[in-house]
Amino acid sequence: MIHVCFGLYDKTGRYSKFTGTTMCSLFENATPPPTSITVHILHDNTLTQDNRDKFIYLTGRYGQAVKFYNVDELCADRIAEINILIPSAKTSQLSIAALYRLLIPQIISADIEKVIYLDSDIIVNLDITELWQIELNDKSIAAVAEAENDPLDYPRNAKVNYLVKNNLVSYNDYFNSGVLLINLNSWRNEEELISDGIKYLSEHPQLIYLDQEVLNYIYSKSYLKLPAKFNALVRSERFVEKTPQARKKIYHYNNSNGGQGIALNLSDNLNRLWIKYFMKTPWFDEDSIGRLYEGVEQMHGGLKSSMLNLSAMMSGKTRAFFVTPQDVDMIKKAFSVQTNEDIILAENQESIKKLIKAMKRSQGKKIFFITMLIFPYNVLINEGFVFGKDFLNGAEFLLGFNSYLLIKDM
Amino acid sequence: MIHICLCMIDLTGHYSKFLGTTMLSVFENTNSEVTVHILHDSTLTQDNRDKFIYLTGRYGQAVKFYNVEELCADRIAEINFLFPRASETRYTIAMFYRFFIPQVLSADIDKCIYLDADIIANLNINELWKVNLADKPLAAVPEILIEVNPSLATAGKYLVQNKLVDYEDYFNSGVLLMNLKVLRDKEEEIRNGLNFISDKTQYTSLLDQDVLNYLFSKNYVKLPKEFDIFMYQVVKETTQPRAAIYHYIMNNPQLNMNDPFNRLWMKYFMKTPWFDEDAIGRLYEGFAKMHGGLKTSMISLSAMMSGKTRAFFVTPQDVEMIKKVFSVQKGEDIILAENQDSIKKLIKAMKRSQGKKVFFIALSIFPFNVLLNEGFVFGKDFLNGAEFLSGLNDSMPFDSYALIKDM
Repeated sequence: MIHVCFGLYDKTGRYSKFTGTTMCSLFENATPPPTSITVHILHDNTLTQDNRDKFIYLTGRYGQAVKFYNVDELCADRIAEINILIPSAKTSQLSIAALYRLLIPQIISADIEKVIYLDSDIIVNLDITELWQIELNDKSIAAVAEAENDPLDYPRNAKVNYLVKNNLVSYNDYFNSGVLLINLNSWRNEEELISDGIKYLSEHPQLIYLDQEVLNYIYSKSYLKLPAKFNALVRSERFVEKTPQARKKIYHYNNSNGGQGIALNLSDNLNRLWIKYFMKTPWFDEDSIGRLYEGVEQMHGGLKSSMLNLSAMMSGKTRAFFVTPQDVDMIKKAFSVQTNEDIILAENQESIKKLIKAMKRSQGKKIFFITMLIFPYNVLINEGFVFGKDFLNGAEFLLGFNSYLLIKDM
Repeated sequence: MIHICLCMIDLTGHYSKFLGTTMLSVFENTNSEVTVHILHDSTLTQDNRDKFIYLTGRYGQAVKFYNVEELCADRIAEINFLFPRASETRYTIAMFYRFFIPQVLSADIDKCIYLDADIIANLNINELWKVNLADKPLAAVPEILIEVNPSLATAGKYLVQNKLVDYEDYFNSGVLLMNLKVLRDKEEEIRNGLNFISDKTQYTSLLDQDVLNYLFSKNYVKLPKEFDIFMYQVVKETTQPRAAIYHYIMNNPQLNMNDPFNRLWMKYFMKTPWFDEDAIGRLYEGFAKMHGGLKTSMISLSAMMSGKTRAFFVTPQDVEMIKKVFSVQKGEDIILAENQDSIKKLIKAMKRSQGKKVFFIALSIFPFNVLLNEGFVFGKDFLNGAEFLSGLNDSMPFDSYALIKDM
C-alpha cells in the first residue's frame, strides 16, 4: 500500500480541483499489477461537502482509497499556535495549508511508516511506485535539491535566500518541499525539531517559503537527495527547452516569480498534460465551461469599459510616452506614435524628473503613457498627477492575459 | 431498427461536432437500436469520420456514410445549375442533401427520421419513430404551432402570399419523419419542386423547406410541437428542458451556462469525442484573439484620438444612455439622428470639423457608405460607436457562438 498525503485549504471552493487533478494523474499512472494507493487529505473547515464527494467519487472510480483529516479539529492547538507564531501564514499566497504537511506525523495512523507528500500544483506523470520504492534507511526525508531542478531562478533566489545567505543551508542542499518522501518512523521522534523549526520561522519573517524553510532549516544536511525528475519545475523545463515534451517525470507547476505554471495555451505540451488530467476529474463539467466563459466575459466587459474611458480621456489631448531607449522603436511602432507626440527617454534617475517637468509643462493637454513594466507610480501621484487623467500604464496595453486566473476560477 | 439521417458539409472541419452532438443526444435517450446515416461530401475528414464511428460504437449503435458527391453527382450538378448561389447561402448546399435520402438509402429501408444538426433530441427518439405515416410521404411540425407570433413570421411568406400554401399547413423541415417507400416514387415531383423554387430565390432563403411545403403541405402528418421546438420561442427564464426535440434555430448555443438550454447542449457536446483538450485550446485561442483584438483597438483608439475631440451621432431616445457610457463632456457635440436630414447635418458637421473631431456613430444600423462616399475615412474621421457597447454588460452580451463554432 502506497500512502500519499495532501494539504488543502480552499477558501473559494475552487482550489480542490487542483488537488483532484494531481490525484487523478497519480491514479492514472500507477501501472498494473494494480498498485494500491491510499490518499490522505489534511484539510480544514474550508472543505465543502461537494468537494469531499468529488474526491470520494474520483478515488472510487480508480478503486483506490481516500481518507480525510480535519486539522482544525484534530490539531486545533497546533493550528492556533501556528496562527499566533506566523500570522503571515493566513495571508501568504502559499496559504496556511503549506504548513499542514508538518502535522503529518501527528495525524497519520501510527502503523503507517512512510508517506509521500505532494503539493497540489503537481502532475505525477510516472508510476508513483518508482518514488515509493526508494530506500530511506535512517534518513527522515527525501527531496529534490533546488540547484538540481531550477537552473532558471534558483541561482538568483539563492542570493537572497536567508538560509543560504547566512550559511545555515549550503547552496547545493536547499531543497524544494513540493515532493517529499517521508520516513514516519523517524519523523514521529522528531516533533521537537519541527516545533523548533516553526519557532525559528516565526522569528525570521525573511523566510518566505514557510514549510520549505522549516524543513531546510532542519534537514538540509541530512536528507536523501532524489533525482531531479521527481520534482521537475515546469517553468525551468520551459526555460531549458522551448517546447518541452511531457516525459516520465513528476511535474511541478509552481507559479512563483511571476512565471505562469498552468495556462490555457495548449500548444504547450505541459499545459496540455495538466488539462488532460483535469478533464478526467469530476470537477470538470458544464459549470467549468460556464465559469471560464464568465471570466472571459468579465475581461471583455472590462476592456470595453476601458475603451470608453480612453476615448473620453483622450478627448482634446495628445499623447506623450516615457520609454526606455531600447524600447523606443517597438513603442513607436506599437502605438503608431505621431511626429507631434513627445517621447521622453527613461535612462536614469534624472529621467523621472524630466518626466515630471514635462507633465507640469503640458498643463493637462497631454496624457503620458508610461511604457515600462515596473515604475514607481507613487512619485507621480505624490506630485498631484492623477492616474487615468494625466498618465496611464502603457505597458498594460501590450500585455497578453494571464489565463491562469481563468483556470483558478474554473 | 430506427433509421436516422443527418446531412453535412464541413468547410472548416469544426462543423462535424454539431452533428456528433445531435447524434449523441439521440443515443443517450433511447434503448432502441439505431442506425445513423450520414450524407456527406468530400469535406468530411478522416478524423471526423473516425470520431463518428467511435461515438456510435460507444453506444453499441451503427453508422453508415454516403458520399453524395460520388453517389449523386448528377443531382448535385443539377442543384448547382438550378441554384448557382446555393454554395454561398448561409444554409449551404447541404440543405439539399435531404432530397437524396430516398435514393442513397438501401431500398429495404422504408422509413427514416431526418434531423438538422442544430438539434438536441432530449427524448426517446422512438416516440417519433412510432408515429404512423400510413401512405403520407412525411410527417413534420407545422410552424404555426411553434411560432409564438405567426403574424410576424417570415418563413414561407412567398408561398403563403401567393396562396400556394396555407400558413397553418406550412411546416418546418428540420425534423422530418420520411416515408421512403412513398418518396421513392416522387422523384419527378421533387425535381419539379426544385425547379419551381429555383427562380424564387429572391423571395426566400429556406429553399429546401419551401420545396417540401410546395409539394406536400396538403399531404403530410402533422406532428405535435414537442418534436421540433424552436429555441428562440422558449421563454428560457421560466422553462427547464423537458422531453422534447429542441431546434436551436436562430438561437445558437452559447457559453453562458446560467441558461438551461445552453447547458443542455453543452452537456451532450461534452460527452462527444470532439470535446477534448484541443477544444479547450481552441476556445482559449478564440479568447486570446478577442483579447488581442481589443488591446489593438485600444492602442489605435489612443492614436486616433490624439489631438482630437469626440462628437456623437445618436437617436433621441439613446442620448442619455450614450452621454453616460461615453462620459460625454461639455464641448463635445451631439448630433441627433431623427430623420433623413440628420445625415446631411452629420456630414456638414464632419466637414466643418476639418479633421479635428472623431465622430462616434452610435446607431446599431447606419449606412456607413454615405460617409465613405463623401471621402471620410473609417477609423480616422468616424467610428462605429455601437461596437463599443457590445459585450459591455449583461444587457448587451457578446456572441459566444462564434467561440463554440471554432471549438
